[in-house]
Amino acid sequence: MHNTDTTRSFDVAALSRVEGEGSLRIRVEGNTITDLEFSIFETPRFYEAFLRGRHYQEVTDITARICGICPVAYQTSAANAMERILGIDVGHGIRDLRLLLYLGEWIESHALHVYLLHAPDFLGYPGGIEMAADHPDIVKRGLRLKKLGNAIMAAVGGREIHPVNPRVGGFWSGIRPEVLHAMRPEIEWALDAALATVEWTMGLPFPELTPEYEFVAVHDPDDYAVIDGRIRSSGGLDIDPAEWNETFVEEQVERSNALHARIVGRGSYLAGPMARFAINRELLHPLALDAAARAGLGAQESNPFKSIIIRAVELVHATARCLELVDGYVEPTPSFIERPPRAGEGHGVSEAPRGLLFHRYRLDESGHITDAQIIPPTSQVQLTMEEDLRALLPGILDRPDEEIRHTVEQAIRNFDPCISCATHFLTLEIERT
Amino acid sequence: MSSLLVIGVGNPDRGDDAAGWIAAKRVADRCQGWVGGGPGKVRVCQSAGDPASLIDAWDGAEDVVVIDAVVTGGPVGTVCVVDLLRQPGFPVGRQVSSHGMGPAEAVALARSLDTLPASLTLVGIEAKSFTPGDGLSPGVLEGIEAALDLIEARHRGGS
Repeated sequence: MHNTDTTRSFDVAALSRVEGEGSLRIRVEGNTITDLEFSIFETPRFYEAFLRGRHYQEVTDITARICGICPVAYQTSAANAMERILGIDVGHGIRDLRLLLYLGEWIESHALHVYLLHAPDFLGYPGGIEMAADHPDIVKRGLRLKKLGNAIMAAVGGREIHPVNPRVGGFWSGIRPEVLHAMRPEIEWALDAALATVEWTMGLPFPELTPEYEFVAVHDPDDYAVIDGRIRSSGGLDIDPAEWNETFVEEQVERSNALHARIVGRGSYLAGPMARFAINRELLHPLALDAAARAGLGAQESNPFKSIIIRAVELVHATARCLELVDGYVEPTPSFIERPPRAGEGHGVSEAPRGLLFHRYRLDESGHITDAQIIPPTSQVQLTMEEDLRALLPGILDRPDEEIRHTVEQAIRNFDPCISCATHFLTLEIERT
Repeated sequence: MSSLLVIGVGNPDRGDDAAGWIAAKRVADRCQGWVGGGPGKVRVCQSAGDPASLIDAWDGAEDVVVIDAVVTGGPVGTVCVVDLLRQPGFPVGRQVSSHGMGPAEAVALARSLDTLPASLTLVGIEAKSFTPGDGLSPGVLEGIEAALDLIEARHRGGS
């Protein structure tokens, strides 16, 4: 910390418990925020350029490497886009298996974020390690939930990190029913644990903040959308993924390696669990809908700090749906659908644990990629993160710097930012004059 | 002779961060010939290295070796061995490992949860570059082989 008569500022070496690397600089004059910049400075990884010239069937293996936390999301959005070009309808059996794999990723990611990354903020601990010392049974519950998510990913995806079984058109290898049935007892335990997670999170202390968001999420009329659908918003958008580039715009921002997305003619928007809940709440599994009502969540929840409850509600939905999928499973044969390559453009969306993930590809007649566009959720919500902080800070500027820093970090973690997806880690600087 | 679990930590697509994964694969290839080796005696897995995954990985194991790329400022490929249970000054929260939260944080979390194995050793391979898409830096492959020799000698010795 550096103090002078006129200026007070401090640097925090890194914001922990986020996936990625970036920085937040806040300049305050008196009680007025004059500058606030959230930056991402990891070297861009040029995946979109790297994909050009590759065969369409390589896309699930390559895009899975973009993120260690949500590889299935990348694989699914990519496969959706390719299947549109190739005219493939994978059918219900493959769709159900794809959903089961994806829900495994939700369980793994949400359990990690709720229990080890976000909850310590609410309970006043520096991190999950310190929280575990006082609440070992709670942390063990979270780790066991996460382990189930990993087990589902390994069983269906071939391995839990960068799954190798998904492909355009389905799965390289079929999954025998007994493999899934063996997980049923643990999924039953997980459903109870998820319900207990809602009860636990609803009792946490929540800072006051209720911004007016435009929520944007994938919508499926038949299910709480995860693996595919149209794109809807609380502001009236209802578009096919092919209309993305007429509806959303990405802007290069000098301070950041990630592009910033906004709705054309309107501005920032919120993707992620809160947006899914706002757009698709009535499509939650009945047990999750009941749990949400008991937690006091209304039709829309605007306090971003309560996103931890919504993630817990989504854990209930995910585990309940996994039980249904396992109980109703009939091995799809064949395990994949294949069509001859053809030239064209395809768009794919899905709901990564932290929000909507958009992919677009162009193929030539031999099935090789000539153009790729990937818009991860974290880059979509960067503007909203800055706006939340602008709304939050005036009410806490009279507090000690350490308390401000804690609340700001907590607010950033509301978004479960996977910065490594967007282009790793946050340096926080507050300067007062 | 007790069974051994070897966990290779890293990211196969991030330059020298692949060292742990490559080393684990090489242990799997080589351990059949070790005294006491074979599927029941030496188990091998790969991990991204976050604490939850590591705690999952060593659940129920007694003797665990974690192989990871490390940055200590030494020559590239140098191998270091750290007793993760007894090294009093092992810094939690520093980037000794190639991951922001890695083996040290996993040990701290497992200690809170009373889920530590009886023996937990880090074999670190000094790394230089973590650039996505890059191959290994000169010297890292030699470091991996030296790490394998060390793990084999340790296992043969039963220590």
